[in-house]
Amino acid sequence: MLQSNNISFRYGANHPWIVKNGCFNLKKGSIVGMYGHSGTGKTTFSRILSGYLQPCEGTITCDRQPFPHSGFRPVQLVFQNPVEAMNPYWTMEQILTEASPLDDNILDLLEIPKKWLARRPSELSGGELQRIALARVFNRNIHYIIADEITANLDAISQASIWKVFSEYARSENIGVLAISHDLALLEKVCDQTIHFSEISPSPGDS
Amino acid sequence: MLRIENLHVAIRNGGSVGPAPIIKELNFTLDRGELLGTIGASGSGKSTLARALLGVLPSPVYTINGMISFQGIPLTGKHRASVLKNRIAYMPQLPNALNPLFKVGSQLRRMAVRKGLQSQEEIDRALDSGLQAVRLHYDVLNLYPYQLSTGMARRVFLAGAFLRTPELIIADEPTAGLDEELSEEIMTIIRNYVDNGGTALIISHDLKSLLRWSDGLSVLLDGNMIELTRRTSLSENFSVRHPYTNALIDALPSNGFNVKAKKMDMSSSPCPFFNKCTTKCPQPFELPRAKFFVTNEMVMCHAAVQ
Repeated sequence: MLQSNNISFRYGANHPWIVKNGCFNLKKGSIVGMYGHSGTGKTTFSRILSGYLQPCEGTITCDRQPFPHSGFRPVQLVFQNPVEAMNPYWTMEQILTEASPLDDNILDLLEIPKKWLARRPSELSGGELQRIALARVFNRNIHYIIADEITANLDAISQASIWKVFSEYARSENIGVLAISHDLALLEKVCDQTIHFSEISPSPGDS
Repeated sequence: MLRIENLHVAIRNGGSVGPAPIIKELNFTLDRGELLGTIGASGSGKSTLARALLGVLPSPVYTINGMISFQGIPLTGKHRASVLKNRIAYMPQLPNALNPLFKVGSQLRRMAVRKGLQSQEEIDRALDSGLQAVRLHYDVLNLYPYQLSTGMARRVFLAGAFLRTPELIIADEPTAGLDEELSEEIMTIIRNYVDNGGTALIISHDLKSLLRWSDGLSVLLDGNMIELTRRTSLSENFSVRHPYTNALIDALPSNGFNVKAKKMDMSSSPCPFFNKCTTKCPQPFELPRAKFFVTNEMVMCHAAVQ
């Protein structure tokens, strides 16, 4: 279980709290949807959970272990914009093999043809790149995936097909998924439960 | 009002493959008082269409052929600059289109000057009406762009567009990344503007909001406009003829979230949707020609009946 205990975050002592006393538990094998208004700290929270930001107060534990500060983390974040999340000079093969060797099963699962491996990010469409971004986190050592609006930039067909593959993979491999989106209809389709961000971090910015 | 004939846009140097077409043969008209939504997958040519209309595609990189005219004035010639300055407003997709070093107020003032407003009084009045139209408080003028949320930045763009009421607004993804309340607010503003005699072309992948707010829906696929459908009132559903548009609508989470299985037919067809199409195609090896309807609609599909 990925647990965050009363975590709070702000960018500096004189700045307002963005996340205050956030408590959230993500079980392996469950898909939890999170929604909330723009600008209330959902993305900041997802960055803390995945280790990109350190909380100012509170702790995060992953399977009862303290969260590793450096090195490989079992929690990975998938970003909204895959173009900005990839090195534009790298080929897909370099991007996919950075952390682990290529797994043909994963490529088949996500319908990634071999001929894409020599291409660079500018040579694939947004939906295609988002499949590459998922292939990057479909890894035996990654147990929790945080998906921050991963299909907000995609057309409806790409969105439905990506979520189909993603939720099947998460269920079969016992992965915990936190899906963040503004689209409540989408969350209700793919998630076991949905929560409003204010249930995790009540009234951010007030204190 | 806006008329596009045989528009063709290509990247001059597409590497080893030669010039790479982005928009192939686009024909459509946009009437006054209409809100036309344009939808398509990423890479289908939506944003390129907007940039071609605005004439901001750099000519060393792109070749543009065809005719774009705005109320009879060709937008490709020497009149382009003056028409764009005063009569067409563009709403960019990303909040970073604002200069990070200047306060919102001074940027809006500069926009007003560029739109031809001269006296301080005129500019102040334009700022007032612009902010009022998008329901932003006057305080926003003293903020720097980094202090704006995405929703506020989008409304600042709209306020800029309304400094001098334009005849046409071209908006690129006005609701991307906004929560439902905010995107509804933005769409309501645009809708009101159109209902009061304006015209809007909205480029978006948010099919749900286009189905709800627009009068016309055009669908781009791989540089082709494969469908253009219109309705007379917002309460009416669009009559959809192309299987791709139907598939898009069926794939919406609120409509069943269905993706039909692709047939594994890898034979090549000039039809851009052939490899994913589940409809039985009568002429798979010919490029479907656009079929036009008296209602000013069109569809590019062999299986659609005219």
